[in-house]
Order: sequence, then structure tokens, then C-alpha cells
Amino acid sequence: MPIFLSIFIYGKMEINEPIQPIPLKMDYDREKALLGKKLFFDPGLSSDGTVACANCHQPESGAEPSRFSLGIGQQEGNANAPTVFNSVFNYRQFWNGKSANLADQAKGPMHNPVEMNGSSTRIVSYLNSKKEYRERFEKVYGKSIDEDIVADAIAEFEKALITPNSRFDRYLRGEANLTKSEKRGYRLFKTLGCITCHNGINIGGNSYQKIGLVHRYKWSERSPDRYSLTGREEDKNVYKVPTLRNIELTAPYFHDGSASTIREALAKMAYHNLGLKLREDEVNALSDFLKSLTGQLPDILKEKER
Amino acid sequence: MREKNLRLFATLMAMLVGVAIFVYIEYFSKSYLQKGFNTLNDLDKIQLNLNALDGELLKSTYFLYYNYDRINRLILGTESIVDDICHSEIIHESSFADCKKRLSKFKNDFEKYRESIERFLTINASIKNSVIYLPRLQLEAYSRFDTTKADRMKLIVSMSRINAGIFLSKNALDKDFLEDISRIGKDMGKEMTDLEKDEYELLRTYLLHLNIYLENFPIYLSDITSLVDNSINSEIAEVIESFKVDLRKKLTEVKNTTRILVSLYILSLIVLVYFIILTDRENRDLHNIKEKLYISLITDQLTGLKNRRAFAEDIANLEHPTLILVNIDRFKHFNEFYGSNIGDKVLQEIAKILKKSVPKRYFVSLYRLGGDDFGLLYHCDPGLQRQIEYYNRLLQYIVVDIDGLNLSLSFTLGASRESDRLLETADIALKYAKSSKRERYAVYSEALDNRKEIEQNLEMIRMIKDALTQKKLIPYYQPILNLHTMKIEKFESLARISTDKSYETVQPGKFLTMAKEAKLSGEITFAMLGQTLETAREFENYNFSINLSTEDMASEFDSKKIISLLEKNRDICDRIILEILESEEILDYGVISDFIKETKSMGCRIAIDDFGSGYSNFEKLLKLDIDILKIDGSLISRLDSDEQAEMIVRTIMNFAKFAGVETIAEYVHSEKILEIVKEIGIDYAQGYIIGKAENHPLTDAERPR
Repeated sequence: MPIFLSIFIYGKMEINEPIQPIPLKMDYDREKALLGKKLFFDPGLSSDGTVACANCHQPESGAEPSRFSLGIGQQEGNANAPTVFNSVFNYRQFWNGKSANLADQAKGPMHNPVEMNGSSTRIVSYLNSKKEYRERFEKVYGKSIDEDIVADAIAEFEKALITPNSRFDRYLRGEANLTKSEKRGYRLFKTLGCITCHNGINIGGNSYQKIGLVHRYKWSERSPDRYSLTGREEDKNVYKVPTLRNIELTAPYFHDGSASTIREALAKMAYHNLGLKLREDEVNALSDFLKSLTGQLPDILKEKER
Repeated sequence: MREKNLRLFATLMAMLVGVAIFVYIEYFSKSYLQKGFNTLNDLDKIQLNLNALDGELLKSTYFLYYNYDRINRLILGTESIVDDICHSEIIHESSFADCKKRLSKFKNDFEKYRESIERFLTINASIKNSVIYLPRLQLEAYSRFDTTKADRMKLIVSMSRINAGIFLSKNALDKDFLEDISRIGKDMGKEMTDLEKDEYELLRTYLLHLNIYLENFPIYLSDITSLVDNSINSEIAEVIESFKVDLRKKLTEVKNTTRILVSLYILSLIVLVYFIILTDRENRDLHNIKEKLYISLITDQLTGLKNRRAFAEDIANLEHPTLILVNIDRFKHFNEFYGSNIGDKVLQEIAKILKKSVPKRYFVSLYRLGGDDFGLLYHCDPGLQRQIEYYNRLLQYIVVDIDGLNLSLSFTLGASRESDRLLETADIALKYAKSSKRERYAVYSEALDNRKEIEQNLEMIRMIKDALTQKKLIPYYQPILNLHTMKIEKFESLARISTDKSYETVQPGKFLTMAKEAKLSGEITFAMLGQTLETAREFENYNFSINLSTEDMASEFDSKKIISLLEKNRDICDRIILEILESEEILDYGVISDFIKETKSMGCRIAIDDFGSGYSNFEKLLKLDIDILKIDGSLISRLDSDEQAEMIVRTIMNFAKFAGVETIAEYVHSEKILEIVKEIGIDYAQGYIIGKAENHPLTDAERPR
């Protein structure tokens, strides 16, 4: 609930603006978040002790530089890991939105056989074997370790992973100005219709949309789309719209990591969803605008390991 | 016992119900109200959210640029509230079963509703995407197409018509325009044959977008209509209504339960009060019974006066009580003569008379203290002498009429002010008055109290007995001087009791009285005689005298013992003198004269002790054949001052000479008396000046001169 309240406050400030700035502060439980941070970076949670959450959600971008996530035994997954930054503002989690919240999401990769491949009993017994975990969970939660509080701690940590004060946010708040090119990019972003899907606080993450609306996008049974959940024909290649925040840092792009640069991604989106080839100057302007969405790294990541 | 349990039960019941009411009201009623209103509040919030959602959905259709966060926020908020309610305690109560059912249906339907919204947002974006893009493509067409050519212009005009139709249909949410648009689009498709490559591509893209619009708009339209017109709103209204009904039912239930509990509480309080009253009444009854018992305990049944017990209790509280004891003279006689029935009636009559007599101005209580003893207890000293005289006069001559018998009664009174032993001292006074022939009343004073004497007597008797059993009764020997030869010739053997500390003299007079009273004189005499005989055997040049009492000689048992002891010592009997007190009896009784004769026949001599002190009958003395006269000490000790005494002594002396009897002067305590005694011609002298009694005979040799 506090999330919605804080969003609501900013939402009111720019009531007619389809994009909202990231709040400067989030309310979260510090002790839980710090414990979650430790878990987030601990590869011991995976079955062979090699894969931590942070493997695919790297601290520089919250996302991964490779196309697909590499799980235990270097197995390749079927999707490019979405950034964990600002994920608290997403309406649903995963590409297909199968998780309603962060805690539920956290359990997904831990159990996925090609990702971390952990069973809840294995994870709990691993954590119980560590004195520090036993003591900190007892102190923070006042009870013995179970999978739910492990996921809760990680979710609390992820709440803290917000990137406020991007130049664009400061522009929205009237604290800074954009370059001419960036402004043009934003206007194009609206006139080209990008804004119809990429809106809200996360500039995405708040609806399911189809890639390949105009020109068909390639599809396979392994695609992590809505169809994999609903089985409905019209849900093929329908994904949760990814956030454009920090887009500069989160290459490669799309659910399949098929675009390695922003320009490439822009061209692909224009082709598949607008049926259009963007001109060079349009690409430049849009690209400049997108780069203004890069915010500050979360404070909690700057803190020394605890 | 059963009743006690019932009382305990009622008390516990009242307490339990009281606590139950408190807990019930505190935790149930309050919490039902609280929880109920909280839940109602939440349900209202859901309703508000749903209404807001309708608005937001419509906004999302009208505004090209729209923030989906606003819709998601309402969805997530609603989900969270529904979750909260589903996890609340109150909804799981049986009373809310109906509401719970409706809520869970609502939850399912809301999920479907949410999915519809999600789908709608996808279609909405697609439509907007194309709606935004189609005018832009038209503009592109102007710049790319060769507008000089009519067919190209026709295409652009078609685009305008389509765009206008889209604008209308989109804003009017009306699909009637679609048919026209669709037809125009199809016509455009037919004219794509001889276009330049980039013209072709533009037109193709345009037609693709048009197609997206045409395909999605009907779905979009029906979706938004059904979303806004959804039954979900009426469903939540039903949930709220059913919750209100259930809550009202529950609150009525709570109210009724509270009523029942309160009635139970009041009932148990009533029972308690009933028992309290009952207990109180019982206590009062018990108290009355106790009172009655107590009164009967302190009341004399016969006369209705207070009894001795009451008297003891009453005087304990008085500082200066004064008691007059009234005793009926010769009451025993009435009982024996007329029977106790009459005696009782006499007592009742006397009680009546005394009751009437009580002077009103004093605090006086009347008691029956014993068989025929009545007590008048003054709470303070009323001037005792006057009171006792008043009663003495009042009771001087009483005649009572009992069953036709006129019985005349006399009374004796004893009074006392000795608060610490009131009854005892009054009784002493009474006894004194009784024993005195003249007085009919007496007031206690210490002079009347012979208590000390009695104690001394008892002590002495005890001492004598102890001395006899422990052989501590021993003879002391007082020398008797021959006034002719001035030599000691005889000793009088006197009884002494040896104590641990010293030897104590026993006063002869008292000693004898006590010994007689205790029937011990025979034993004493026997013990003394035995030891004296032994001493006589040792000191063979001396005579020894020993005192005998009348009882010793009169008692057959004692006299035989004495005679047989003398028989055994017949050889020295001629040195033994038996001293007998001069009295009337010894001269009268034949037994005694027999005893004297027998002892004399064994050689003993007989002396009369204290001669001249009382009744002296010379004639009878002569008959007894007395050997020695011991002239009474009271006469001797007065010789130096009393001429009469001297005359008597001289007379006795003359008689003795005439009768041929030896004389001994007792109590010779000074040289002067000794001279007089010598001058008179008395044969022997005895007294302090000659020698005190010692534990062995002091011969001349030992005697200090």
C-alpha cells in the first residue's frame, strides 16, 4: 500500500503527464532489505552454489549483458532477464506477468531448474547451516527460516532498488531542462505512439502488449509470452511492456535479447509495431531522449557489504 | 451444608457471569462493532475503487496519452483490500457465511474483470497506436506521393475519409462508420498496382494499420461497453448489503446474549441478596437462642434470680462492689421437717420479699448464691452499715404462708467490701455472726478472719506428721533444781521438732491442741517416752518427767502402748514422772485413774502440771494419790509483784506439805523469784534462770553457775 500512496502523491503533481518521475525515496524495512541484499548476492541459494540472483541482475544495471540468462551448469534460459531496478513499480513481474509481486517473483528463479534449481528445503537447510543467517533472520523476523521470509527479504531489498533523479525526471519536476534533441525525441515518442504502451512511472511495465502488431515478430514455443500462460491464440507474442528506465545500461534488448543497441531496438520496434523505417535524425532524437532516462544507482548498492 | 454449597455456587455464578459480561462486552461487542465497521469501510473503498476504475477506463479511451499506472493502482488496491477482508476474522464467522459466499464470488469475478481490463489495455494500445499513426501516414503521403496524379490524390482523399471515419467512430464509440471505412480501404487496396516502391510501402503500412483498427475496434467497443457496464459494481453492492444484514444479525445476537447474561447476572445477584437476608435472619435467631441460653445459664431456675455464675461475671466488672449475704437460719431444718418441696417454696417466697426490698436508688443486683444464701450486690458502697441494719430490721421477723403453713423465719447476715474476695469474706462474716450468739449480722474485717491461723495450724500438723515419720521429733531436757540441796535432780522432757536449719520450739499449748485435733498426741507421747527412757537409762542419777495428755490415757490403744513400753523399762520406772494437766476430766474418768494406778504400781510417779491455773480440786487430787504438784508458771512469775499470787502459792504449799506431796515451781525466770520460791519452801524450781531446755540433759558439772 505505501507504494501506491507514494506514487499517488507524484501522480497528482503531474496529473496530465503520461510519464511520472520515480519517487526520491521508498519506504522499506532497512534490516530486512540488508538481509535481502546478502541473499541476493549469495550463490549458495542455487543447487550447485554457482548462481546468485545477482548473476543475471547485475548491480550496474539490474539486468544482464548476455542475451539469455545462464543458469546452473551454464544452461541457457529462454529469456533475457528484465532489470530488477524499479521493478517494484511494475504491475506484474516476469515477461508474461505470471507473478503478482516481487516476493512471488523471487521464488521463480530459485526453483527454475535451468536457473538456480533450488528446492525450498535445500535453500532453508543451506541458510540454517550459516550462523549469521540464523541469527539475522531470528533478529529481523523473530522466527526460524522458511522460504516465505527468504523471498520477503529479497523483495524488501528490491523495493530499495530505485533509480531516481534521471535528467528526464528532473525535467518533469521542472528542475532541469532537456537538450533540443532530447525534447524532439520525447515529442516523437508521443507522436509515433510509443507512449501508448510505454507510459507510467516505469515507462512500461503496466500493461501487456503485442510485439509485431504491424509486421509479425518471430515466435517459438519457448517464447516467454502470455500465450505460455493463457494458451489463447491472441496472446502469442504478448509480453509485459518492458521498462525504458536506464535503457542505456540494459542492453541487449527485448525478451530474446535480439537487439544489442538502442538504435537496433528502435528500428525493430518501428518496423514491427509501426510498419515504419525511422529516419536517421529520428533515431538520433529518440535515442537521446531514451538516454535521458538513466537515473542514479540505488543507495543500498553503494553501501558496504553487511 | 447443601445450602452453603448453593450459596457458594450463587456467588461464583455471579462473579463468573460478571466477568463474562465484561469480557463479552469488552472483546466481542466492541470488537464486532469495530471489526464490522472496518470491514464495511473496506467494502465501501472497493466500491469507490470500482467506480473510479470505470472513470479511468473511459479516460484511457478518450485520452490518447494515458498512464496505465492509474488503472493498475486501482486494481492492485482493490485486490489488496479484498485479500485483507478475506483474511479478516469476522468474515469467517458462521454469521457471515452468506456474505463470505458472495465475497468469494466477487473475488473470482473481479479476477475475470481484471483479466478483461488487461486484455482491453492491449487492444486499446493497438487501436491508439494505429489511430495516432494513420494521420501521420496521411501527411507522409502528401510529401511522398506525386500529388499531380489524380489517382494518387484520390488515395490521399480516401485516407482523409478513412481518418475522418476513424476519428468519428473512435470518439463516438460507434462501429457504424466501420463499414464505410472498410469499403474505402478495400477500394484503396485495388488501386495499389502501379505505385512507386516507397508509395506502395506507405500505402501498405497504412492499410495494415487500418486493418488493425478494423479488426480490433469491434472488440475494443464491446470490451469497453461490457467493462463499464459490468455487473461487478452491483456485485460489490450486494456484498455490502449482505454484510450489513449479517452484521445487523450478529449485533442483534450479541445484544441478545448480553441481555441474557445481564439477566443471569441480576438473577444471581437476587439469589445472593436472598441468601444474605436469610443468613442475617439465621444469625439473628442464633443470637436470640444464644441470648436465651446465656440468660438461663446465669439464672437460678428455682427463684428466677441471677445465680452464682452471674455473680462471678458481674463483680468482675465492678470496682467497688459491696455484698450482703442473707442466710436463712435453720433452713436445713425446714427441708428435713417439711420436705424439700416446702423448702423450695420458702426460697421462692424469700426471693420475692428480697426483690421487693431492693432500694431503688442504688444499683443493686439480687442473686441466689447457694442453697439458702441470697446475695445483695451493691455496685458501689452504699453506706454498708445502714444497709445491713436496714435488712436486719426488715428480716427480723418474717412469717411466710406456704400451703397454709405459717412458717416464721429468722435470718443471719454477713457483709463485705473486700472486692478481691467478696463472697468468701462475706461468708466469713456470716459464719462469725452465726457462731456469735448475740449478733445477727456482721461486717467483715480482718479481725474476723481466722484464715491465717488455719493455715498455721495446717502447717503445724503437717510439720508434726513429717517429724513423726522422719523421726525428727526429739526430746529437749530442761533441768529442775532441788532447792534444798541446790542440785539438779530432774529433767522435764519437752518435745522439739528438728528442722534442717535448727531446732524449733513447739509451743506446748498450741502444740497439744493441734496434736489432739489431728489425733496425733498418742504417737507424740509414745515417741517422746521411748527416747526419754533411753536418756534416763544413760543418765542414771536423774529423774525424768514427761507430759501426758488426757486423750493418751483415755484412749485404750494409746494407753496400752504406753504401759507396755513402761513395762519393758520397769527397772527405771522409779525415775520416771508422768505429768498430767490439771483439769476436770482427769479427776472424773475412771479410765484415767486406772491408768494412773497401773503406772504407779510400776514405780512411776505422777505430777500435776500447771497446778493453780484453773479449777483446782484439792479433794479429788488427794484421791488420785498424786506425788508432785507443778505450780502454774503464771502464779510463779507474778510472785515478785502480786501479793495475791504469793498468797495462793503459799496456800498450795501448805496443802502440799500437809498432803506429803513434792512441789515444783515453774517459770522461775529471775534470781528474785528464785529467792522467793526458796523462802516459801517449794522443793524444786524450773525456769530460765536454772536452765533452758537442751538437746541433752545438762548435769551440774556442765551447767554454768
